[in-house]
Amino acid sequence: MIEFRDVHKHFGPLHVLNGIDLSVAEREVVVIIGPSGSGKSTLIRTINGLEAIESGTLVVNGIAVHAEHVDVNRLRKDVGMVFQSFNLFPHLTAIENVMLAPLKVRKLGRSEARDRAMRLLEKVGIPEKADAPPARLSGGQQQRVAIARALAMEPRIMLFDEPTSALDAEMIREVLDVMRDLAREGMTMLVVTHEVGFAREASNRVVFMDGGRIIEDSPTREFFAAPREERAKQFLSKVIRH
Amino acid sequence: MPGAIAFQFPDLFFGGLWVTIQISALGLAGALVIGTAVALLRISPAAPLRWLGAAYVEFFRNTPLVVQLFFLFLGLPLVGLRFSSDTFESIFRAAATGMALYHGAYVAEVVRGGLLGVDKGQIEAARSLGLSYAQMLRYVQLPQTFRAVVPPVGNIAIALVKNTSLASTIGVTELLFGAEIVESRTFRAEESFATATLLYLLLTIPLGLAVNYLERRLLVAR
Amino acid sequence: MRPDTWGMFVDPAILRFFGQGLLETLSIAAASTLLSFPAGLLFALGRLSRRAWIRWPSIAYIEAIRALPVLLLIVYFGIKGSTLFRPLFGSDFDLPRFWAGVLGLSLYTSAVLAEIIRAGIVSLPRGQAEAARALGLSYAQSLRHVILPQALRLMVPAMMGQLTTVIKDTSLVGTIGVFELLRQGRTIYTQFFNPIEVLLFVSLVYFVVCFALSQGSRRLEVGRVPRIAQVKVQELQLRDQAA
Repeated sequence: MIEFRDVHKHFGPLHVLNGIDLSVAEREVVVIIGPSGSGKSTLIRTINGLEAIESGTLVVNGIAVHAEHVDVNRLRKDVGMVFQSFNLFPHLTAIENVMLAPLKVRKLGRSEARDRAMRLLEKVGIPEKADAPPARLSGGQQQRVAIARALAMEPRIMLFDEPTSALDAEMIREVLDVMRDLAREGMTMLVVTHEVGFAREASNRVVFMDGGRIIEDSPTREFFAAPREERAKQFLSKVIRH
Repeated sequence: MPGAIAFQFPDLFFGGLWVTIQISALGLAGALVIGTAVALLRISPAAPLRWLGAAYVEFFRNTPLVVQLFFLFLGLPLVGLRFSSDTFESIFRAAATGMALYHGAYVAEVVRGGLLGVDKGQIEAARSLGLSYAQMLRYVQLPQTFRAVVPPVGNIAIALVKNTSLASTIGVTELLFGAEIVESRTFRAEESFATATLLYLLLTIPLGLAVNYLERRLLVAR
Repeated sequence: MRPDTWGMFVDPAILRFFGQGLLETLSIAAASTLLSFPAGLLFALGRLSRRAWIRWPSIAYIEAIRALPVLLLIVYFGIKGSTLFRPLFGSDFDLPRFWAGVLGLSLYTSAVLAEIIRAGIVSLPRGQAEAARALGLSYAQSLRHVILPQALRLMVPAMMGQLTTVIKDTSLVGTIGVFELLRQGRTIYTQFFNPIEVLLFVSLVYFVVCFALSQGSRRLEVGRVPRIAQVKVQELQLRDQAA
């Protein structure tokens, strides 16, 4: 479903992606962990073309993202993304946020879009906030609306870029619950997170990155039982302690 | 008493005021359209479009409006471009066009500032939903600039109302030209100009108060 | 357009004629700025005064003038300037048109400069004035040695920005018969019937002067201007960039 081959990218002198090889199969849930600045966010942002790659190949859902003249908008219809800072549109209500792309990109009718948006808000557990503007929602609620918004395009892949880093402890749970349900339903997911608990319960694989490289890529159970790499071990011990 | 003369020459004072209002409204509408279009050029991903937008803004802001009005009034007909076959209509339209072109450059800078003020995450979120660049502008970026640009555009509107007086230099009988005509007929300069002053204040003071009110509300909201 | 008239722009006599116009334009701008700066400073302090009989007239002057078209002021002084000053300078006094224009422009510019200077003063941290007074400086001394040096420095770019507006506005003084740059141009194109060429040339001259000034003011490093002053300056620049 997603295939990285020897992908490189620099930010100035920084080699943020240094020879990435990674493949993700359909219905797989992959958690990407690693210290900040290790290239995790950049990695998943290349998948829907928010970041361009400099060399190597990247094929997502049969579309070569790296190729010139590729229609990224077609690609993005199949790839949903959830951001650390929610990025809800402040001038639209919760349900309008969810309806926007189905109306404008998929050209659905208003009532159909509304029905579907409502179902998604029910799914993420906040139908009662449908007509509230984002400013009136808590962080956890905003992030759940953002997940519903991404799901509204019926993506085949969901990308999560540190979806809970901006949230308080109790709100983290409500967001992770929604993500867990999604994983159980068989959505293909790539999740950048520090939530080890979520990785342990909900993911199939853990990818550990440092310095723009993938240091370790193991099945979840193996990774937590005994990380093969020293750096992963150190990182894990630090993350779990607090 | 200043103002009484207005009722002796209602055509020149109230008629002039009406022309001032018309040119202001047409000019502002045009400036908003031009300004938004130029702002979009200014933030375009294509460098040549950005240069075009910058050239527009710099040219119109760094040359006097009267020169631009003379150009529209005298220059365009010489290359075969006429606003209207009727001379009075023609200078009226030249004036409104000049107002729109000149103030459009100021509107462009304000709208550009508003567009750049929109959080980058908003644009990324819209793009990752599959919205095209144009859809992203239309449904996400532009609506969010609206709040921020209302007070500055209000200030431009005030400048525009005052600048309609420059239409008198190409012969449009707006408020100032009306007062000048009355003065030349009656030699009552104080009364004529005091009356024009009152009528201008009638337009610009309420506008100014409204803008100040909006400004303060926005400053608090931040 | 008449291609045969482009050649005139390298004719030294024609260029000298334009040069005289430019000189007049710059002289009007300089005289207006020099007159309006002290006046603007006084009105700024007046508006900040604790005495109501000083404060309210200052507010009225600044706000009324800023609400008026600068051309109205110029035309008024062009027509009535002389009679206004006859009580002062004698009954045969005749105000030169140059000074009538300068007067109209200065009236307007002083009100705008007053607002720029006031924005600079109120944006300074309160502690500055308090510290100065605590040291035993009088109100005038604290203004002179502490407040104004900081406030004026902060506002130099904004004041330079207003100077480009003054230069653009000098083109209005041609309407009362002062032979500034645009008026010289009009004289030429009524002779040679080439308004397009002349107006483009005149635009270019204005552009070079104003663009250089506005770029210069943008490049000036004066330290961080507080947000409250930035907002005020933006408002002034939009509302008072007359013509």
